[in-house]
Amino acid sequence: MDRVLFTHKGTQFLQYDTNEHECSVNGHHQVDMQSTNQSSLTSTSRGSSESGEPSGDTKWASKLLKDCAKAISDKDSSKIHHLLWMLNELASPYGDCDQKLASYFLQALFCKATESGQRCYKTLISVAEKSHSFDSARKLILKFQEVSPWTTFGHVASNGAILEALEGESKVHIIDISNTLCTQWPTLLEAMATRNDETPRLKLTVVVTENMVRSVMKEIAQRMEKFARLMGVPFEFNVVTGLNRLGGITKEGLGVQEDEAVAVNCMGALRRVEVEERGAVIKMLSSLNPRVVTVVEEEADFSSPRNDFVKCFDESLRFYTLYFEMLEESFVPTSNERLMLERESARSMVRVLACDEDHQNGSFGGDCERREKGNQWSERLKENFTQFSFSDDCIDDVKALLKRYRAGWSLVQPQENDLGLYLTWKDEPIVWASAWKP
Amino acid sequence: MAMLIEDDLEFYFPDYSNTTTTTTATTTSASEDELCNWNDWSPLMEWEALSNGHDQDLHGLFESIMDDDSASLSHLHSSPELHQYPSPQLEENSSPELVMINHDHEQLLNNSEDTKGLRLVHLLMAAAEAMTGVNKSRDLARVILIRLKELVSPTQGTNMERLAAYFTQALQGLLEGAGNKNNSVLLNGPYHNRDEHQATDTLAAFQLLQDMSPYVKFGHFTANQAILEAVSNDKRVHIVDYDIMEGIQWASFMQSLVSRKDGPPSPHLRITALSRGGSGKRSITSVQETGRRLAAFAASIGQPFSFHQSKLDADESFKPSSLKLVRGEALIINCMLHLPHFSYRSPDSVVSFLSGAKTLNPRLVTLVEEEEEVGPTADEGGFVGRFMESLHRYSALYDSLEAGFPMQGRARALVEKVFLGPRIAGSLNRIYRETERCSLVNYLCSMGFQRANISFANHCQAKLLLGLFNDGYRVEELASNKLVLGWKSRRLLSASIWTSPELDS
Repeated sequence: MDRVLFTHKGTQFLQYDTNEHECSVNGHHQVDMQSTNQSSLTSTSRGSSESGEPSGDTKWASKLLKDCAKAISDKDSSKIHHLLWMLNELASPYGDCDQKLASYFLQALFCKATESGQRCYKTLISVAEKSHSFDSARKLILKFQEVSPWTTFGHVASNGAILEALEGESKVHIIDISNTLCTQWPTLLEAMATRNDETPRLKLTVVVTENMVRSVMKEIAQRMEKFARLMGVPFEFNVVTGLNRLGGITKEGLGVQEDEAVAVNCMGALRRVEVEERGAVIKMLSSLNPRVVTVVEEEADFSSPRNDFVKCFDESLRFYTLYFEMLEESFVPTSNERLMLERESARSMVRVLACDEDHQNGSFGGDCERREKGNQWSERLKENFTQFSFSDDCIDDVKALLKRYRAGWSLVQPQENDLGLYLTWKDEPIVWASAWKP
Repeated sequence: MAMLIEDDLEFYFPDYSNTTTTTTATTTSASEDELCNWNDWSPLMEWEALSNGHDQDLHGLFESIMDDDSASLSHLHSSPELHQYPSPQLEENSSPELVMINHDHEQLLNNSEDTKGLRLVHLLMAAAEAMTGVNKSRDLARVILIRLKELVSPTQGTNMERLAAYFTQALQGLLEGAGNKNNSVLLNGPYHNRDEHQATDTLAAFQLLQDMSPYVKFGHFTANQAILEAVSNDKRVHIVDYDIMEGIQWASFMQSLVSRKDGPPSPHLRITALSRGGSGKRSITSVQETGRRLAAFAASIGQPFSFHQSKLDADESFKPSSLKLVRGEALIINCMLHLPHFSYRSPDSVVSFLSGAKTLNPRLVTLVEEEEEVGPTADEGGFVGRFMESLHRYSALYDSLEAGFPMQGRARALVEKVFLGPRIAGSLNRIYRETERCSLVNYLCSMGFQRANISFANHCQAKLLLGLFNDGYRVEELASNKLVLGWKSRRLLSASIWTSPELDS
């Protein structure tokens, strides 16, 4: 009987011990390859994000990964076997960027090839949940925000748009669909408290779908309430936790009242909605009659090449290469937070590349991760909203924010044909922020 | 007819003579017959307390790799659907394919050695592939070599690990110095610059090589026996030696001449050795010294002898006119190539020698060269194919040395360092540059030389010789004039004899 692709040799080569570590590949994860050959492996150039030319000097990891994706798409078993084996030999989640990308993408490709994506994803999630706590989550996000404007960019831009749109309102309801654990709101609260003579009443409704976030909301609620008290802002905090998928969000569930001025803040939110349900969710949001909807998303397209695995893979490789390089340059080498973020990316990779959403199993937990680019979201949002540009003050705030970080960050300003604001890293746009009104 | 079995190294290298007792190695009877005693020899020789008991027979490993691969590959091709794969997680212990679960330690050890050897072979092949061909990627090759270097060491571990270390370094040299003709790694081999080879190192390695394997003796004895038979009634013998090296072939030969029981008295022996401009980097001794030593030896055994040198031009083209010939002498052409301790000689040089020699109508031509495998895999596959073949060849060589000296890893490591490592580097360099392989046997045929039969006695002598070493060695008579020495199923060295077309064979 054919055991085919993964004979005993194969399984020896690839042993995933998901108990202790997310991905312990072949037991040599303790080896830090950097210590043996300092200069030869580290890659700070960004050549790897280029399209794979068959030239002699393409970066090895991107070459092997792309070849493997192609082989999987072609169902070329022996080639798949060979490439997975090679990736396994050379990858390490503790090595340089190339090795890390190789390691995590290997996991995703392996799952794809063996159709074990769902199970793998579930395991990865449960492992992450075990070590997750309010403290660890808080530490992680604060550190990330300290070294990189990846999330704070969106916060500052959105807050600016929200404050301007809600000026003069006395009863304000912000619907927050995000994954940044309310780190966006203290500055907004402060601005509200200090800007107007009459501080408005603020109701904050946070929508939560991930288990991990759910488990820490209580602590977050307490802290937010305390902070609001300190600021002297009349504050009400609600959490919507009953949803197991974001697409199930409803107007009733959000508890919007007639006399409230509503602002909807979507921070990395829409990508978590299943692709088919995105239109409906946006429509539902417009039915709330908000004064402003801020949408911030990572600039990558994982949804349109859905049926073209290679294309989807290439795009995710491009995006995560940027992301990992950014992480490498922002954090210290031994940072545990960076490792956590990399693992989070690894879960997304598995989810996007190896979990086929057409399965009839229903939702198996966790959100969709299929990002779309700014112009794609704009097409969707245009159906129900009109985009407006961020004010100059707001943009100045963002610029001031970026100055606080290391060199490499910049922004692309709103233009005639594209009113969105883009955060760029080494001149590559990576986060898109936009503001919409009815 | 004299049958030469005993080695007169001690006699021949008086400066390096050593005390008497034989080693206590329990394996090969060859050690008992040898006169050299390692223990007193050199501080380098520290015997390992434990043998590499679990060393796999590398050769067998190769066979199983080739079989296994083709078996698994054929499976893969026949079932494109990927559905039936087992879970990748280790939780499912019930799968019989998961060999690693086996708790039997010895089996585990064997399996892990096997696995490691397999892994190294695959990595080497992947590196070779990354360096050439359509999908060439220097970056990938670089990273694979880095990985390999972590896994292997030239002085420790199993045969495969040490071999892989040399191949890795050779590939590294190719990667870095491609095109750079002065690259020292390419010319001299890996690990060369780390220590300069002392003359004593080289000599020690040579003696070890003699003791652990029959390669050198096979070449010498087969040639010598054929020569003896050809000149049995001659009064004057003139041997032109392409690459005399340390001359030990002729020490044995002279011994045989003087010990002929029946027949005429020993003929006058004249040897002309070709010498080259720069002295060989790894030669044990210079041609002049060899000549002196041979003369002294001849005198000591009462053999009439004279020695001449014939210097080659820089381009190593051979001019027959440079030889001094004497009427009535039996002219023998001796061409030893590719013995483990020999330097590389370019095919052009050898061809020039042989074609020049032909014009002199020699009585006999003796040729010893590497035996190339001819077969479907040998010529296909470009660099990678030839690379793998080279790997296969050297692994057989390593195995054979280990069989001869299973306990003495350090000794073998010395031989590997001094001789085999540089050969590997040079060999890979030539393969990379797609230097034409040249089979001199074919060349001699095409030039019109006639095959001369290997005598029954010669063949028996070879068998006897091999019997002293290890029964993994085999000798085959591949053509009427050719004996081939092989290890297990791998043919390694061939000795052939030829005559000029005008003479009777």
